[in-house]
Amino acid sequence: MKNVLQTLIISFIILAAPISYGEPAVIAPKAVESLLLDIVKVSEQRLLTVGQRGHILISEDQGQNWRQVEVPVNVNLTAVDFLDENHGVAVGFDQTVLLTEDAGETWTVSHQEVSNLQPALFSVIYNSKDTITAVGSYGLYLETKDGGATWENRQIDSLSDVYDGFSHFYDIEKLNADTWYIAGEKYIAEADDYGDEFSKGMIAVTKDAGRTWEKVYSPYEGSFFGITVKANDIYVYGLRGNLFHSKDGGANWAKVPLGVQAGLHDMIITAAGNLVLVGTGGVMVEKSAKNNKAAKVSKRSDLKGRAALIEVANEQFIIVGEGGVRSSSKAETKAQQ
Amino acid sequence: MSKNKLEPLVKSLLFSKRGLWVALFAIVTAIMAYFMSQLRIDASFEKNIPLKHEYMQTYLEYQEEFGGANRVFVALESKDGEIFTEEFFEALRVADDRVEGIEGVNQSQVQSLYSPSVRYIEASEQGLEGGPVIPPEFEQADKTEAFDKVKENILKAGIRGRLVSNNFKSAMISAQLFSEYNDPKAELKLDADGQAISQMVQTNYVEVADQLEELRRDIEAEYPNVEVHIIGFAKMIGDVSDGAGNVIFFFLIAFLITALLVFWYSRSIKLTLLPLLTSSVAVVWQLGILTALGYGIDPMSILIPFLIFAIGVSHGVQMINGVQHNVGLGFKVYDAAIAACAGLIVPGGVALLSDTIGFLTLQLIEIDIIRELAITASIGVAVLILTNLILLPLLISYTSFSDSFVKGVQKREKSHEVLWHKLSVFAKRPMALIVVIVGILLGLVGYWGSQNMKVGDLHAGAPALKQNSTYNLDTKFVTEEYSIGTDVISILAETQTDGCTYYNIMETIDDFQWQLANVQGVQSTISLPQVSKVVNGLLSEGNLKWKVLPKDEAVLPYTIARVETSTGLLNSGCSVMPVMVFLNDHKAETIERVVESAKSFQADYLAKEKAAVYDIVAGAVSEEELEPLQQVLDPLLNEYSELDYGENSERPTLVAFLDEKLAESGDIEASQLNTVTSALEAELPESGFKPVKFRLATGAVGVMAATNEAVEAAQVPMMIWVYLAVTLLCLISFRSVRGTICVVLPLVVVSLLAQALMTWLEIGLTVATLPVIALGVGIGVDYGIYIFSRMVGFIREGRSVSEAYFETLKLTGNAVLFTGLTLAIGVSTWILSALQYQADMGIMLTFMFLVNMLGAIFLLPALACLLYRR
Repeated sequence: MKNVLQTLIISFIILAAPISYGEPAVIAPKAVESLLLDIVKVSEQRLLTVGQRGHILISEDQGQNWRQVEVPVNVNLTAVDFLDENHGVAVGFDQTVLLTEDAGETWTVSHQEVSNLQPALFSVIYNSKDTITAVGSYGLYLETKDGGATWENRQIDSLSDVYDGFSHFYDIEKLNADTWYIAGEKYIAEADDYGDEFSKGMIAVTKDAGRTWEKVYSPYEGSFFGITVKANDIYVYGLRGNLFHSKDGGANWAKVPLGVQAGLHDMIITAAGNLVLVGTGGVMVEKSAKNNKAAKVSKRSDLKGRAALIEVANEQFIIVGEGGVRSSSKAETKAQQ
Repeated sequence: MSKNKLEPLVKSLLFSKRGLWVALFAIVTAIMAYFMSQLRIDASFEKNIPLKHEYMQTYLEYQEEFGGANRVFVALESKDGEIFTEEFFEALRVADDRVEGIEGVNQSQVQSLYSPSVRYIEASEQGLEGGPVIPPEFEQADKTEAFDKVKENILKAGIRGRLVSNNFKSAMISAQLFSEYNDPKAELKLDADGQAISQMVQTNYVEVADQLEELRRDIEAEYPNVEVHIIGFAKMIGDVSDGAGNVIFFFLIAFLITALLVFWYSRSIKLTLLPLLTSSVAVVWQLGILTALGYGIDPMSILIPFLIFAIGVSHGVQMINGVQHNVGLGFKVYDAAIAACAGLIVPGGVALLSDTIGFLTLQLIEIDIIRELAITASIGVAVLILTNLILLPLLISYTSFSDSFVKGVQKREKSHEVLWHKLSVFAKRPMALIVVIVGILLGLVGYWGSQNMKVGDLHAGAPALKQNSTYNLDTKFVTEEYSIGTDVISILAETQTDGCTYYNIMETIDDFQWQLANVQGVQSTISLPQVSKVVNGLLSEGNLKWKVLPKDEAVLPYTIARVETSTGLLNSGCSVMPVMVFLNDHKAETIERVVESAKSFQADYLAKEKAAVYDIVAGAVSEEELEPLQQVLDPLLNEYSELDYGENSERPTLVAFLDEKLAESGDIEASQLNTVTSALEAELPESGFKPVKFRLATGAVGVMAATNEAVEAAQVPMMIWVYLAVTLLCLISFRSVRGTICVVLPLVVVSLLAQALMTWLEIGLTVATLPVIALGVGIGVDYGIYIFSRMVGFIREGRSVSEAYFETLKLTGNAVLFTGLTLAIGVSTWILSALQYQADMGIMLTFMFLVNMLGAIFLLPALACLLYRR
C-alpha cells in the first residue's frame, strides 16, 4: 500500500511538473514581417499564418491587419491545418505539434522531440476529430488516433530509398477520407553495380487513410516541394520551376511549361479553375487551366522567397514567405513578362 | 574714488617701470606671434569620443578587426533611371579605384559591386553555385544581357539596400578608414634586428575629405549623368573645417561692431584702439602658448579665441571706464591709469580667475575635445589678466586727453545719473521684493523647462552642420535610398574560439538580434546567424522551410564556412560576432531605446543562465542546502559572467572558476563543493555557462551612445564644480556670505533659463553645448563681481543699499551695460555660422551674456536690499 501511494505521489509530481518546451514565442511588432511559411483560411472571417520563432498571426479582415497570438514554443512552425472552424494543428521544428480548439487563439503543445536525425515536421493534415497525420524530415511520419493524447512515430518502410534511408517528406495532402498523397525530396530510387545512383522526386499515395503507402511513378529526378490534388487532377511541383500534371492517379504525367527556374513551394487551384504557384525568388506564376496561353510570371521586387498562398477573393491572393505577409494586389509585385 | 591700498604697489611695481614692461610685452608678443604662425588645425576622430567609456573600450579593442565608426560612403546616383548603363559602371569603377587610392583607406575593407569579396550564392540541382556579382566576362559580354545578369546577382547576393539602392538608381562604395597607418612615403627604416620599423602617421581627415571632394568634382564633370553623394565622419570633419574657416568673417564683423560701440562709448579713437589692441594681443598669446604646448586647434574650439577677444574687450571697457571716470574727477591720465588699474586688478582678477576655473571644470569631462577646449579657453582668460588688467592701463597712461574730452566725460556721467537713479529703485522695497519674486518665478519656469532638456543630437544627419548643408542632404539621400547609413550601432557578441559552431551560442545571438530588430527606430539588422539560416535554406535546395539555424552541430559549421571575415560578421577565430543595428536616425531617444533593449537582453540572459545552474545544483543537493548555496554562488556567477574571453579564450570553465574561488574563500565545505562542481561538470552544456557576452558598442551610433552617456554623466558634477568654484571665489573676495548669495543666485536662475531655452529651441546637450553652460556661468559672474565689489565697499561705509547701488552704477554701470552688449555682439555673429553647433553656441552664449547682465543689474541689488536690511 505504501509503495502504491509513493508511486502515485511520484507520478503526480511528474504530471504536475510543467513540461519544458523551451521558451514561448515572443510577441514582436515585426512578426508580421518575419519569415512565414503557411497560411490557411480558418473560416470566412479568419485567416491564420504560421512561421519562424513560433509566430502565429490571425487576420479578421481578409489579410489587411494581423495580430500575433501567444504560442508556448518559439521554434519555426512550417505548416498548419484546420479540421473545422475551431480545431487546428500547427507543426514545425523539434517535431513540435501544437493544437488549438478555439480557432487559433490559444495553443497547447501536443508533441515535441528534439532529434538531429529527424529534426522537423513539414506538413500536416487534420483528418478527423481524433486523427492527425504529420510528415517531415528524413521520412518522419507522426500520427495520433486519440486527438493528440499519444503520438506514434511510424517508419513507412515502403517509402524508403534503395539503402533503406529516407528523404524529406515535404507535403501531405488529402483527396478524400481515405486517399492521401505525399510529395517530397528526391530519393535514390536505383543504384547500379558501378555505384551510379538514379534519383526520383518522391510521390506516394495511400488508399486506406495512411495504413499502407506506396510510391507513385515519378516523372522527375529532382525534388518536389508540394502536391495539390483535386478530383482527378494531381499536380506535383518543386525545384527549378518543375510542375507536372496527372489525370490518371499518377500513371502518366505531363510537364506543364511555366517558363520559370525558381523552386515552387505552393500551388492552389482558384475558384475560377486557374493554377497559381509561388516560390523562391519571389515568383508568382498564374496559369490558366483552360487554354494553352503562356503562364503569367511576376516577382516580388526584392526577390524575397514566397512559401504559401490562399485566394481571398476572385483572383486575389494573400501570400506569405520571407518578409512576411503580402497581398497580391499590392504594387510590389510587378509583372515581368 | 576712494583711495585704494594697492595704488602705491601698482605704481612702484608697474607704472614706474612702464617702459620696461611695455617692451617686455612687445617681445613676448613677437615670440607668441611666431608660435601662432605654426598653428595647425587638428581634428581627430578619437578626440571627439569619451575614450574611457566602457563602450569605447570595446570600440578601441575591435576597431582594426571590424572597423570602428570611421566609415566613408560614396554613393553614385544615376540621374536617368537605373544604374545599368555603361557610363555608370565606368564611373563606378573609376570611383572605386580612386577611393582605394586615398591614403588612410583600409583597402581590404573597401566594398562595392566591383569588390571580389562581394559574391552571390544560389541553390541548384548540383548544390550551391556562386560567383562575383559582376561576372569576369562582363567587360566583353553583350551589355544588355550582362546587366540583366548583374541585376540578378545583386539580388541573390543580398546587397540591395547596402551596395545598391533599393530602387536600383544608385550604387555605393563603402570604405573603412584607419585612424593611423604606415606611412607609404617614409623611407624604409630598419631596427637592430633588421625588422622594418613601423612609421605610423595619423590619418589626416581634412585631406581625405579634400580628396573625396575632388573625386566628386571629377566624376560629376566626366560623367554628367552621375551625381555623387559622400558621407562619413572624415567628410563631415572636412566640411566642418571648411565651415570653420568662415569664423574669420564673423570675427571681422564682430570686430567692426565692437570697435564702433567702444568708440561710441569712449568718444576717443585712442581709447577705442587700445582695448582692441590688448585683446588681440591676448589672442596672439593664447594661440602661441597653445602651439608651444603642442596642441592644435580643432573646428570646435576655433571659436574660443573670439570669445577671449570679446571677454578682453569687455574687461578693457571696464578699464577705460575707470580711467575716464578718474580723468573726469580731474586726475592726470597717468594717475588715473594707476588708480583704475589698482581699483580693477582685484575684481577684474577675481572675475577672470572665476572664468578660468569655470573653464577648467570642463576637464572633468572625459572627452578630449572638451578638455582641449577647456585648456584653450583657460589659457586665453589667464592671459587676459596680464594684457587687459596690466598692459592696457600701462598703455593708456601714455595717452593724453584734451579738455573738451574731459568735459564731455563729465557731462555724460552727469546725464547718465538720471538712468542710474531710476535703476537704484530696484535696490529699494517694494520694487526689490517684486523683482525677487519675479526672479524666483523665472527660476521655477527655467527649472520646469530644463527638465525636458534632451541629451544628444536631436536632428538627423551631422549635427555639426546645418540641415540644408550638402553633407546632410547627402546623408538624407543615403538613408532614404538605402537600408543602411551611418547611423549604425554594432554590438559585439564575444564568445569562445569557434563559438559560432555551437547552436546555443548562435541561437542566443539570433534571439538578441530579433529583440533589437523589433525596437522602435531600428531600420534593419545583420548578424552571422542570419547568414547561417539563409545558407542552410540554400543547402536544402532553397526550400524556405529549412531557413532555420541548424540545431545539428555537425551541420551548423557548413552554413558559415563560406562567410569571410571581410563581411565584418565574424573574426578569424569565430569568437567575436558583431550584431549590426541600422537605425532610422541618431536621436538620443532612439539610441537609448536600443541600448536599453541590449542591456535588458543581457540581464534576462544572465538570469536565465543562472536559473539553469541553480536547477542543476538543486538536483544534486538537498533542499535545505540550496538556499545558502545560491547565496554563495550568485555573486560568483555574476563575477564569472563579467570575465573577458581574451585573445586565446583564456576564460576558465565555470567549474574551474568555482573550484578556485570557493576553495580559496572556504564559504562552503569541500564535499559540498565537490557535489556542486561534479553536477555542473556533468550537466552544463558543452559551451559552458553564459557563453556569450554582448559588448556595447561600436559603429557611429555606438560612439554617440557613449558620448551622450558621458555628456549626461558629466553635466551635474560639472555644474557643481563651476558653482563651487564661483562661490568660493566670491566668498574669498567679498568675505561675505550674503554678498556671495547676491551674486550667485541670479546666475543659477540664468543657468536654469538657459537649459529651458535649449529645450524650447530643440538644442540638445552635446559635446558642443555642454561647455557653453559652464562658460556662461564662468563669464556671467563677471558682472556680479564688478558690481558687488564696489557696492560692498559703499555698504560697509554705512550707506543704504540703494545709495550704495546708485554710487556703484555711477562708477561702473556704464561699463557693465556696455560689457554685456559687447560680449553678446561678439558671440551673436556666430548665429550666422554655417555650422550648426557654432550657431547653437552663439545663441546660448548671447542669451547667457545678456540675461546674466540683466540679472546683475536687477536681481542682484534687489537681493542685496532684502539681505542687507537693517
